Amino acid sequence: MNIVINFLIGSLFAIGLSVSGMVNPQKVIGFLDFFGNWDPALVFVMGGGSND
Amino acid sequence: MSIEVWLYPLIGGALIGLSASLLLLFQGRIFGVTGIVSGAFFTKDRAWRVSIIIGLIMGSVLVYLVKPDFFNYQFKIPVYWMALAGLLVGFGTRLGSGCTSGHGICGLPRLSMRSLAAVLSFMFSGAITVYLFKHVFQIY
Repeated sequence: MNIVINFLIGSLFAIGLSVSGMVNPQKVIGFLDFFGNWDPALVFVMGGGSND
Repeated sequence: MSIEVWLYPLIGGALIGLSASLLLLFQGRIFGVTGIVSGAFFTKDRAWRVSIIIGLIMGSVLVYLVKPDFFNYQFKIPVYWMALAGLLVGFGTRLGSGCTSGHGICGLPRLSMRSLAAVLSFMFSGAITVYLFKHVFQIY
């Protein structure tokens, strides 16, 4: 039973990470690129994650 | 701003936060991905960790089947560089007791000072690395 729940929790995390765009290394680099075209997306991911 | 910039990240972040909350509720554990992966190798308490890892893989496969656009990106660096980077990430996250998920998603909302220190130091060193590689050496 625990194994099923943990599997589903893992799947939910992966779906969230894929939808958030953070599976794309360029999005992560864009967030860290404060002296180029800064991409704030990770702020929304962390914000969305913290408000549950 | 287009929805790719804020809505998808917000929905994705909410799902990540929800899954981390559910793990805390059902398993009483922190959803730190690097910790779960290393624990699956180096501890005897592996069943729950392995089922999460399989879930992580299957969740990504599901998204890819429904909407492959989310994985439509190219790597600009050679594979051996990525392997080296992965090694450094693995070493650093074990040394710092966690990564973006454990310290960022789980630690910060719990107001953990240790997590705040970890997030600030990996974001800061990440920004310096991007600055050096992109704007100074212009490699990336």
